[in-house]
This record gives sequence, structure tokens and C-alpha cells, in this order.
Amino acid sequence: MSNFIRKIILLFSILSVIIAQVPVTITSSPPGAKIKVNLENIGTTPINNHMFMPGSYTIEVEVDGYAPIVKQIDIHQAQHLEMDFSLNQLYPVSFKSGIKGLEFKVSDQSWKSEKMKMIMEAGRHTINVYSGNSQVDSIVLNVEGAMKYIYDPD
Amino acid sequence: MMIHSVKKTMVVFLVLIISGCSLITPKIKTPILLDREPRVSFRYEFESIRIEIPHQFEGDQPESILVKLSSRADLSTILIEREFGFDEQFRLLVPRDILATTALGNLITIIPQGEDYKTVESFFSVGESPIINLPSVLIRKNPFVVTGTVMVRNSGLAFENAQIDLMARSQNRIYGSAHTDSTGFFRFELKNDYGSATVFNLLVSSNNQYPDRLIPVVFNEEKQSYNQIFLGVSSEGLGEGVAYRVIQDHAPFRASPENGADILFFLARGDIVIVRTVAGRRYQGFVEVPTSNENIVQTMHGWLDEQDIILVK
Repeated sequence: MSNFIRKIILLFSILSVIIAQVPVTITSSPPGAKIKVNLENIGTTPINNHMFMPGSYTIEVEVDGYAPIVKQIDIHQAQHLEMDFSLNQLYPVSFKSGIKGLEFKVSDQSWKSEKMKMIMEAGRHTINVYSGNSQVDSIVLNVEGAMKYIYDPD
Repeated sequence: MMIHSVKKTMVVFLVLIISGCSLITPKIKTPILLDREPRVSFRYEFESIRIEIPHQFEGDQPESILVKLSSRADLSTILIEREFGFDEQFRLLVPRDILATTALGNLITIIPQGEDYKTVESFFSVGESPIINLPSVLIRKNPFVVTGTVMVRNSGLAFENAQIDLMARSQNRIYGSAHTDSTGFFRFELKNDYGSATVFNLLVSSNNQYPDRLIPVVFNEEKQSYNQIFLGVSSEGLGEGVAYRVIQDHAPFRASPENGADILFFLARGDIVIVRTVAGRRYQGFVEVPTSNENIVQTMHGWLDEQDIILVK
């Protein structure tokens, strides 16, 4: 096979890969989020026309002070794709119980002390209250900003 | 004394440190997140594909033409529907993503709007090209379909390669033609250029092996006509005399052998006469005339001149 034909085949192979790729624009609210694709850092938002081959990817979006997003996405063949991630803010929450000897569970966290400081994503969290092995109460904590919460059922 | 006061001070500090530590509130370092789907929006921009559907009309034009696009996998869901005027180009601009990528995975259905038009379906595949040119579509009314079999009357065998022509009653125009196959079967569709004609004749020719047959054609409500056609004379007729073939058109078939005798009717070239008696140059015999029931023939007796017929060998 002549060099010329080899070069033509190589050129077509490169072109076919380029043509098959999908330019993706990634934005976030707030902007400035770090974007990792399959654990590889590709920059901070806004990211314009990052080329992806169609396929499945794990995308991580992180901004200080906001709940991180980890999302499995499928990118399909298209002329262009815009992806926008809306991140939810994190707020410090001070929790205090007026009753001793209780255990509190929220999400996958739990504590038995009367006081606890934590960082919570904005929104409605349900805190379950246990005495021994029995659930005795359930609290809905609507986190809209930095807050102090005192648990006193009486 | 000095050592004692240092020890005392250290104990006081230790107590203060321990009591201070007990005042520090514990902290969960990992943020507590909500168990919900992250808010992510996707907006795809797909390349558009242009589907070209060339078409032509046969006969009358419908008022308009409805073109529908669906996927073979889900024919009940219409992805795109558009109505075209008969003078418009049939062209659809569709996002590539709505089309199935499987082989022949997409269906275009063309429904002419008007009475008795034929719906046309065309399956197609999507390639790399942004333009898809479908095969040309013929838009016409549901056709009249003529079918039948041609057999030899005296043997019951199929007659192959008979010429079948569907003609106007006036016989000045042929609307459709076919040849019989090895089983004697024929089929053709009538093009929609017959205007308002509803009555036709079927001319069956056998390359002069048997007399031509001219049969009135009647279509049923489904616009179909089946015809069983027999050629030649019956075996019973052949058993009653000798077969002669008429060699010229307008051969007079007379009531008696005398010159100037009444002419019953004229025979056409190729007609078969079963001759029973010969009187000089006059031959007496009969012809078989098929009735409306192809299985039954009527015999008509008369006389012919010798010059009008030859012996069928």
C-alpha cells in the first residue's frame, strides 16, 4: 500500500473520530464549579465545547459551599449538547437537644450527644429521634440558611 | 515550696483544659445531603435531516396528501405529520434524534386525501447523509385488478402465454395487458387513466391457435374481476365431426347450402367449425358459442363455402 493511500486512510480515520464527537458546553449555577469526568478534572464552569465521544460518563461537579453533584450521564450523538448543573447551597446548622440520652439520625449520619454542629444541604431534612432502639419522634428541619435548632418536644 | 506551687499551677491548668474540652460542641464533618436527584438540565441540538419524497400522480390528483413519519418499533406513534398540496414537493425536515438508526427502522406513510386512493408505505434507513431521498411514490386510486385463468376447453389444460388485453367496449383503447403463465394464470392492474369507464372487454388471443375470445368484464365492489376462460371447442363438439378453421373475416354462415340463402351471421378468421356434411363446395357444420357461463357452450348450425375454411390438422 502506498504512503499516499495510508495517509488518506489515516486522514479519514481522524476525520471520522472528529465528526463522531459531540461538543458539550457545561455550565453551572453558581459558576466556577470544578468538573471531573470519569475522575479526570476537565476545568471549571463555564466549559465551552468540550468534545465527548458518545457514551456513558460519570460527571462530578463541585463548588465550595454547595452540595456536590455526581451524575451518570449518557451522551448521544448530536450537533451540540448543553449541560447545566444547578447546585444546592450548604449551610452550617447547630443542633441542640433539650433531652438527654436520645439518638438522632439524619441521612446516613447519627449522634447521641445533646449538641451537634453539622453542614446541611438547603432543603427539608428529616431527623429521626430514637430512645434506645425505638423511634420516638421525627423532626423536619427546613434548612434555608445558617441556623440553630433546639429540639425540645415539650 | 517553689516546686509545690508549680505543681499546683499545673493542676489548675489541667482542670481548666479538661473542662474547656468538655464545652467544645462535636461536629459532623461530612455535609449532610438530601436524598434527591441533582438538578441537571440537558439541551441537545440535533442535526436536521431532510427527507425528500419524490412522487408522481397517475390519473386524478387527490385534494391533498398526508405524510406521516413513524418508527417501525412503534407504528402507532406518529412522530411527524404534515399535509401537502398536490402541487407541493413532499419534503420533511426532522431532527436526526427522532429517527431510528436500525435498518429500515423508519416508516413514511403517504395517505392521499380523497375517495378510494391507495395509501403508500415506504420503510427507510438513516445514514450519515443529512438528506434522505426515498424512492419515487406513485399516487393513484385503488386499481381495478383483473385476474383469471385460460384453459383449453377440450383438454382442460392450462394455456400458457395467451395475450390478455383489457379494452374499452369500443375496442379502440387498451387499458391493461398481461400474458398467462405456465398455469394459465394472469393478473394485471388497471391504470387509472380510464376516465369514467366502468364497462370493459377482455380480449384473449392465443397466437391463432384458437379463436380469439372477447369477454365482458364486470368488477365487484372491491374493484376486482376474476375470469375463467376456455379456448377452442369442446371435446364433445370435436367428437361430432371434423374441425375446420375459418381463414378469412366476415365469412358468411348460412342457413342452407343454396346461393343466396339467409346468412345467420358472419364468422371471423380463426373461428373453428365442426363440419359434419359436405355437399359439393358447401360444408355443413356447427360452431360453438360460449354462453355467459364459460362451462356451457351453445351450438349454432349452418353452411360455409369451401373457400372460407381449411382443415385443422
